Amino acid sequence: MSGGPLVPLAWSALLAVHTTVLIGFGGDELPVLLLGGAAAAAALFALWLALRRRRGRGATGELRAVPDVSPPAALAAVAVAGLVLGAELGTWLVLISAGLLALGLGGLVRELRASPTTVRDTLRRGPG
Amino acid sequence: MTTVAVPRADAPGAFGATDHKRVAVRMALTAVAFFAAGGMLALVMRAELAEPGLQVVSTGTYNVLFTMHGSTMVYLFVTPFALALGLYLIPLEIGAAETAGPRWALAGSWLLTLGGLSMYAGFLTRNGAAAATWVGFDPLSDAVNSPGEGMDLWILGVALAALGEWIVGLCILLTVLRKRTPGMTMLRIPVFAWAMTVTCLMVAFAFPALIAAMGLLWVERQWGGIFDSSEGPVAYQHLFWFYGHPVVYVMFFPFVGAVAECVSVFSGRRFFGYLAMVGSLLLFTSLSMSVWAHHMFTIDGVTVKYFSLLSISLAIPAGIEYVDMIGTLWGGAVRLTTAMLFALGFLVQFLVGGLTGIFVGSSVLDYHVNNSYFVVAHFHYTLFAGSFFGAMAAVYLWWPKVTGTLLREGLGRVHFWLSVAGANLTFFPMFLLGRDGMTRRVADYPGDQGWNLENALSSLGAALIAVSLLVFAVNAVVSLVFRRPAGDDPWEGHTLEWATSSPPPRHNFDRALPPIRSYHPLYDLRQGETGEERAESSPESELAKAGPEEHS
Repeated sequence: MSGGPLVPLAWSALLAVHTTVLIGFGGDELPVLLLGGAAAAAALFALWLALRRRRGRGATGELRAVPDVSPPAALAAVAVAGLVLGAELGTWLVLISAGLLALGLGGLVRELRASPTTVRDTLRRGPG
Repeated sequence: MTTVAVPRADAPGAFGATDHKRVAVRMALTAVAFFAAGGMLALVMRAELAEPGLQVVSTGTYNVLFTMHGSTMVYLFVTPFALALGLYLIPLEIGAAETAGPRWALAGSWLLTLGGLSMYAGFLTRNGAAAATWVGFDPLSDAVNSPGEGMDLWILGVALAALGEWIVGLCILLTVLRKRTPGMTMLRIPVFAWAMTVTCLMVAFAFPALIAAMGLLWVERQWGGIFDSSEGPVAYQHLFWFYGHPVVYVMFFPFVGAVAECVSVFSGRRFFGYLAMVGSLLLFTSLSMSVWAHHMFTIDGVTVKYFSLLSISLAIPAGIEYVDMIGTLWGGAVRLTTAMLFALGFLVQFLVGGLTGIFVGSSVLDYHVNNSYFVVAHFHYTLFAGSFFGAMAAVYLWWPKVTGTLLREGLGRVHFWLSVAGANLTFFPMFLLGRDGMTRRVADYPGDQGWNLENALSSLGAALIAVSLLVFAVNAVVSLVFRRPAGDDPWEGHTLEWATSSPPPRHNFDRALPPIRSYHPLYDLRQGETGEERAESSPESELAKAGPEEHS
């Protein structure tokens, strides 16, 4: 077993067996839905992994630029927390957080657009 | 995969560093800070229970204390610490330069921190922090029974923390599944990496249920109509425990993996029964996803036979793991370092937690001990005497790798023995209290029930645990101030994290990796591989080799 997708697939199969046993014992709808849903979700996750692997995305050897520091990612997280907490603490926090989220997402887009160029530059310069 | 760094020296690294090691260290330190807060709450609770009568806090405040203590330990300490351990170590153990989704991991760590702060912000509100147990039982947690913003902030905080943990868990899972270095097949990743993989599978597919439960509970509190029907509270419990049981395993499987690494390294032997361990981890975690309603045996309408059967079945993979650990120790050149002492402490004490789990997993016995101190003793033996000891084994094992310095072994031993005495003195009397009928979550108890001595001992033990943690804090400070360089591989480790500098550089490896032909590449390198040894190092041949030569 060398492939990543097999792990969630095997795990999904085990959950499916447990779901079947639960149905056999006359389990109620909600428990069957929860457990069966988790089994199905794990199977879909395995399928997604397999499809990505077939397309060669994220495979070993792929070159990808990651900045050492990404303030927009942290800012977006703070903004999401602010949006959630704003539901309790008031519209003022929702509005501020929405602004921060826009800033964070904008920064992320800028980072992602800048990355390919940087990778090419780094390759052109060579190591060191 | 090769990762190219894009330097951003002007940005505040403390806020937005994407290096998985920095994110993990910040997560771990945040978790430790929350642990200190949760521990303080526990000390106040034990002070109140040291003798009958109300001496320290009111009953209402006591409700807040046990709610926030449980919430802190589950949502904000053990789970995040376990995930931080994985986030730091997994890329190193599989030879990757980076984690999958480093920005996502960074964002997840912030969501977790802000969720925790939101839960604690309840203390600043008029009605105080949440007081409806760490489960947030409905209708106890509804707007009528728990009015005020404190409960709402707790609900939203739990949802945020769970979302952050879910994101970090997915990053770790995808790292294992997609970023292994060439030659590192799934059956060559270390046992710790397998333990983190199955842990993160549970995080990925169980934690969304908690986020959904918290969302629905918040809506219920604002407008009603969600859990109002007669079956509503049971539906809430199903949703909650679908997360609430797997999270117990999320809180100990990473430490099972750490203990396995300790046992293997400090026995100087390859891990015994690797394939059986991998199979048992997959079976164990799939079963743990399927037994949540054993927390609901006393509720009418639960499929008791199914949940009881599968709960008892958990003993099978647990037994396999114990056989593997003992098999690794057997015939090994055991070094009793502090890390190894904590690992052995985990194995012995966790067994007490596991065996008493059979009591509460059996529906008939559960009717007697339900909601008693027996349950409190059981899960503290699992999570403190077990997981916490495993966590300390991990800390003592990997501290040199993370900091580049050695902890003092002498102080470590004092820490260990105080921890053993404290944990058992605190939690063993609770079994007796539970057997004799003392109910959990009470601020006071009658003085004529014969429970005074057990409660006094338990409170004394809690103080001893606090002292043991102070010893560790001193050890950590001494280690960081009066530095003794650890070198790259102070323990003669078996796995790839020991093949790089301490602490590791930004992209983890600044030298060529050793050949990877098994789940213990450095052990192979140290032994000096011949063709015959390479053949023997395959997992399939391990049982055959270990059996006649080393286990007869």
